[in-house]
Amino acid sequence: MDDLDKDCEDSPLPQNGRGGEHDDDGASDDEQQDWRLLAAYSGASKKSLPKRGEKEYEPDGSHTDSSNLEQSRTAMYTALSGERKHTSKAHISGIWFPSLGKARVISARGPHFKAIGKADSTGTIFLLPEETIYLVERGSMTLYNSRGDTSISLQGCYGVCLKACGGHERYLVYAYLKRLGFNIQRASTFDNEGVPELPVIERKWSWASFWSSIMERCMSFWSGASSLFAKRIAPFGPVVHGGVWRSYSSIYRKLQIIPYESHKNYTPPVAKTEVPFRVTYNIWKPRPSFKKSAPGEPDFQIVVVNAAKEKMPSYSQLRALFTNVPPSARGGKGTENQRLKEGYRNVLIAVVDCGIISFVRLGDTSFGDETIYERSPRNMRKGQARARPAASAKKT
Amino acid sequence: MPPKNRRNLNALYPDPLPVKVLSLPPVIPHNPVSLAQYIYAVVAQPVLAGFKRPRRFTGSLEKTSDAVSSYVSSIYIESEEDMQGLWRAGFFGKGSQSRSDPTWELRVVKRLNVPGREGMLAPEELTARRREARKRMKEERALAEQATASPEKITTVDASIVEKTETARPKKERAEDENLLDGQGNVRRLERLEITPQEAFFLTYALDVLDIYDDHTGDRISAPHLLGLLMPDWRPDNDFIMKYVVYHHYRSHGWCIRNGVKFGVDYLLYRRGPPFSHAEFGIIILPHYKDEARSEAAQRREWAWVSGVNRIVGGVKKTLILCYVEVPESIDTWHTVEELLTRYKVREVSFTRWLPSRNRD
Repeated sequence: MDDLDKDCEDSPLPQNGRGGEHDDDGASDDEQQDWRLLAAYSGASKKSLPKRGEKEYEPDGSHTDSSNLEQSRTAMYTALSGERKHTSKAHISGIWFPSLGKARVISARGPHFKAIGKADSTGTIFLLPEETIYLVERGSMTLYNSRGDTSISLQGCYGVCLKACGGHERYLVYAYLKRLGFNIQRASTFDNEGVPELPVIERKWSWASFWSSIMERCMSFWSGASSLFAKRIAPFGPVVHGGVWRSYSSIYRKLQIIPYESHKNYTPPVAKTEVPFRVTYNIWKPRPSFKKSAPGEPDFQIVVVNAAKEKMPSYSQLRALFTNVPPSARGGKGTENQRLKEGYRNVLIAVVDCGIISFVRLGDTSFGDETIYERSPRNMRKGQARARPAASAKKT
Repeated sequence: MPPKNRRNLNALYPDPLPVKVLSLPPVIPHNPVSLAQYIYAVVAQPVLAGFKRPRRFTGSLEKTSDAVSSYVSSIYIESEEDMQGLWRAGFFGKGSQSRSDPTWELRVVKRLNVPGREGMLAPEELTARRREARKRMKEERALAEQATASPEKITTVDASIVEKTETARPKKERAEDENLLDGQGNVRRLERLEITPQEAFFLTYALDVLDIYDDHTGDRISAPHLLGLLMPDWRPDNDFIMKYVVYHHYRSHGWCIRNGVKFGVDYLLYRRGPPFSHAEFGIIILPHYKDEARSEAAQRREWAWVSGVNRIVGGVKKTLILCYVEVPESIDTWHTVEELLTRYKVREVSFTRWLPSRNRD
């Protein structure tokens, strides 16, 4: 035990305080493995392997050894035999109503109710099944049957609540994100009935938009008129005719003949989605000011999918899903790279395969909306010139 | 790592496409000379350009026949000038003896010390030289630091540096070396630039800068003939046309698009080209049919598959883009290739892993 602990202390642990079984595989996502560290020990430079100190795996029979072992054993048993308790102040009781598929909280206490539970008109708080399991599982609540005379065990709680959660995988995702501190609520499209809540995009009238619309009309008229007189493209091209070209931008614009889905001036009509490719939960990042009654726009919207039952969504399913979520927080603003990577709208999918959750983000993006060719080498050179002193300053 | 010398790269690769551009000079209101220059550029340049033949490239097409049919097995560029021209302006093709740009001849010339061509350096050698210079600079800096700390150690370290720089480039003789030279002592032409069918069609049809000849009969292959050779079955979701639609789409929006088979994807997107930066996106093409059942069969792949592709692409710091290409029901009747291509439509979905622990604040 001691050695293990020591090893852990010595090894460079990631500093961002991660925990949980899903993070191990995530560590390598953004951080590249630095092969240079390894290169120092291979090939040309004949250095010995790194020394990590001696590994004590055999008892050497000494007094110090056996007393060390005895000490850590005692520490372990003491820790395990300690009585685990909750303060009676924060402990709550709930009654499960199978007919409602909800649990009634007898008296709501503690910090949990900032984010979970929903009060009816009389002020009685009801818990959704996933909230019920979550509280029972972490020991904060005792659940009783509808008569209120018998307490339900955790196993019993899973038995009665899980079906109303919409499946095991949904509860897994709920509990995992909840434990990480996210605020999470069922979306209106949790089952097949609800309609999506989409913010109404109000179009404000302003001089700027008025002028831009007039200019746009003029431009489209001009391009339409000029195409009347333009040289007809021969059946087999070329798209870019010979002659004098004044800039690469004009060549690129001429080449743009493949139709693409654009986000400019176009919002597709909301399409009907079907479970499972419907938004399951709304997620808010952990923040102390969160109010369950007025949570505001969710930070993320997530779809929970059972990998054993469902494969990747088809384009039509994805398209329908995208029309059911509001534009992302950046709303197509931000840098060009962010726009391309995150998309104009995005939605998370939690793929649950036998209890293993993997999250992916799908973004509704459009490369056709970006004009990377407009940036001339001259502009890039200027940027480079500005970046260089900073880089050299860092080095010295 | 210090940034690459971008100023140098801009001078080496000024053109993103193999089409020449005559840019207009700027007009400065208080400078009448600039106005004259502008008027000259507007009026005279088109006329002068009319007399000059635009730059054209020559390629060859190789057909192979098996028991069933004959098919295009390779399209390639042979002349050194054209290989360099197509690589420098848009990064088309791949040198058959090189990792990407055709530098085999330069490397051989350098290695064999061919007389009269000593001054030339292949890009790989430039890199090696730069690395060496950097190493030497670092060693000298370390030495200088050491000198301030303990002056007596200098001599020993100095000797090791001298030794290293001398053994850095050993001259190796190979058995096949004498076959590489012809009678006059020039290096034989063994490298060619291989271009993909999509690149070939883009250069012949869209830009009209490439003339392709059948390497067996010597006949010129026109754009319609090439299209017929590349998609003999004329299905709307033919592999060639699907890839061409995507190729043309990204090319026309300013991306340098190259084959992505090394990273498990159909295409890679570079912002300006491989020497400038690493590819930023990996493209997977998925067909989208009018018939929903057919679409589902093609698009609803296993999660394990997409997860695997994304892992590879993500592992090299690229973003996976699922590119859904809408396939028309029929392409039997059409008037122009442009009309044919506009029946397809491209839609993109970005696919990235999302980590809860990294998105908490």
